[in-house]
Amino acid sequence: MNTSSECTLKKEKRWNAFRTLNLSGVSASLILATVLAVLFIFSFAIGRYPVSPVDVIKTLWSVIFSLDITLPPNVENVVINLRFPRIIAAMLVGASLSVAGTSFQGLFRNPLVSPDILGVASGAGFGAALGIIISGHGFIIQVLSFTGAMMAVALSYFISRVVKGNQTLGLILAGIAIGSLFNAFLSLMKYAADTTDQLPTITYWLMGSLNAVDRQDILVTGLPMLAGITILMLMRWRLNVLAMGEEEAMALGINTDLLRGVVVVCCTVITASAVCISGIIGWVGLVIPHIGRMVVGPCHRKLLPVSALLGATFLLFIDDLCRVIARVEIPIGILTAIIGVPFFLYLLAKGRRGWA
Amino acid sequence: MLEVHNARFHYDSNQHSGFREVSFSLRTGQVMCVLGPNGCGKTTMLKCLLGLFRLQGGSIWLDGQEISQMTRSAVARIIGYIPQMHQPAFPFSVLDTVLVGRAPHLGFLQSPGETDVQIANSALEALGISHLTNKPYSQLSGGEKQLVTFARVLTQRPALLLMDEPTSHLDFGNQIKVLNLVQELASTGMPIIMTSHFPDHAFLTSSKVAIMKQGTFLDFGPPEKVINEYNMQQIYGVKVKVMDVDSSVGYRVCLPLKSDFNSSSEQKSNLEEFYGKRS
Repeated sequence: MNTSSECTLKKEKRWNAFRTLNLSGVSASLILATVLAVLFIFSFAIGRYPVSPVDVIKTLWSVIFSLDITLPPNVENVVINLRFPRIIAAMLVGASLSVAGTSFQGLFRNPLVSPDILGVASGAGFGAALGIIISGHGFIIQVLSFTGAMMAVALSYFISRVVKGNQTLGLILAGIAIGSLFNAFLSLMKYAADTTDQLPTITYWLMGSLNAVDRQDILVTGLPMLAGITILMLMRWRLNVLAMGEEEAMALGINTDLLRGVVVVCCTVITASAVCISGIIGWVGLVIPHIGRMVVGPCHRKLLPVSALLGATFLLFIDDLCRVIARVEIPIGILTAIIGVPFFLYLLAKGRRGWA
Repeated sequence: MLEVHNARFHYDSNQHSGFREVSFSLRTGQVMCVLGPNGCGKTTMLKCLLGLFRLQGGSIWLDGQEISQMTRSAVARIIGYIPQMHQPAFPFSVLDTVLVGRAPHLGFLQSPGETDVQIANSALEALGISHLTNKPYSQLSGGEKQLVTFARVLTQRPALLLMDEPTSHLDFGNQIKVLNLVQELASTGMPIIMTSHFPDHAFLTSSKVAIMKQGTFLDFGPPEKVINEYNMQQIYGVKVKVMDVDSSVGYRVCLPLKSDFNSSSEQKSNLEEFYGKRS
């Protein structure tokens, strides 16, 4: 009797702790948006050429409203031309990878899935390596890596349509197979590459960096990223229905084939757009959804916006570190793992009910 | 309400799977119980009634409409389904789980609004489980989970209910509670089809019983007529005794006969050989 009541008390306690963690979607989004806004301003201020936050706000203000405000020399150049594209890119890429990861985890009903599951990263890597070998021009590399990513996922998707039975499982298996295939192609490219010049470039590309992003890149890739994120945001509640299981979703009147198709296309477009300007950035798409679930719970209506904000904040923060932590810039893919893994493990140990 | 004419369905060229020559009709307030051994095609039949699989012959009519001509969400607005096992991938709250029942009533880009939440809350209230609203579904007991599934299907506001073994995985008390719930729903006029492994459950709730073996209906009719010693021997291969309980209870029961185990010669002799006879 005593032990059982103790047990329920414990359960109750644990439950209360879980519930307090479970912020409402709106308040969590507001808090995160505020954090992101502060970090956004702060990110302009730091770097090799420090700018005071006041000057940052003044500059942005003057550009937005085309005012003529006198500022210290070079400030406008640093803020607008150098840092602005990079900061926007970090937020867009972070949001894209996180939204794609969250959507895929819901779609595949599996918290271990990352945006790479259908071969996006290997396809992009192969495309980029091919671009580096045949031309080396930034734009060509981007186009080829985008194409490679789309091709890998398209192949996975069509192969899974041929597989009989469980479509979700078929998609995962096809994705793993196609991923390995494109990894082999990537190795072939590395093997064929000139070792003094091309091979290092390929290697650095695969580590990920937002160093080279310019305004043109933002315009070209930002649009598909925003479009894909918007569509996923609009239909995010349906991910809840899909997470109940394929047959139940069908019994609830959902056209699961169509829904899965739309999710796969949107996730692939945003991931490929992100990867083609940033290179391979692992870990974000896997871990941010979990942190999101710890904050607002698993309902995708709250989770997807929170994931987007968390992802943007996380990657912007990591990119800031990349810029300032050492005299040489550190590839962002390295830091996302070095910072992300311990943080995630800490949350796992401390947070109570992230998944399952 | 529901009419099935000579329906036939097989999984990929395997003539022994699925079902054939199934015909029946169901009217308001009727509860039909489908009995049959594992793998006889009960669940497959339910899935065809839901429109998840397309029939290879015959037709299913729902309120005068052929089901293959209807969109999936149109079917889901009429038929509610309680599956055998239900395990969401994430620890959704009970409210989120129940709200999913609104899916057939919402457009592709819509998500549930105030009215939908109200419907879900009143369904939870009607089943007496409002106190569970914000708990994670995955932390509930088996009986509570089944009640939440009922709340979800009520939130769907269907005109017809299909249940695949609604009492499986439940303890004795919860089984009877669920059966009472089925009766209560039927008394509001809701036609219900449920599959079961217990002939007694048919006596408790049903106005019609179909017994199924190897994909066909062996018999169909009121439980008193269909559940008899011969039919049970036919579908389950065990001897039973069907008898009236004294008048204070007022219905029949179907009892497996213990002696049958001893005379089931093959099983016994093999086991004796395996273990040796103990004194």
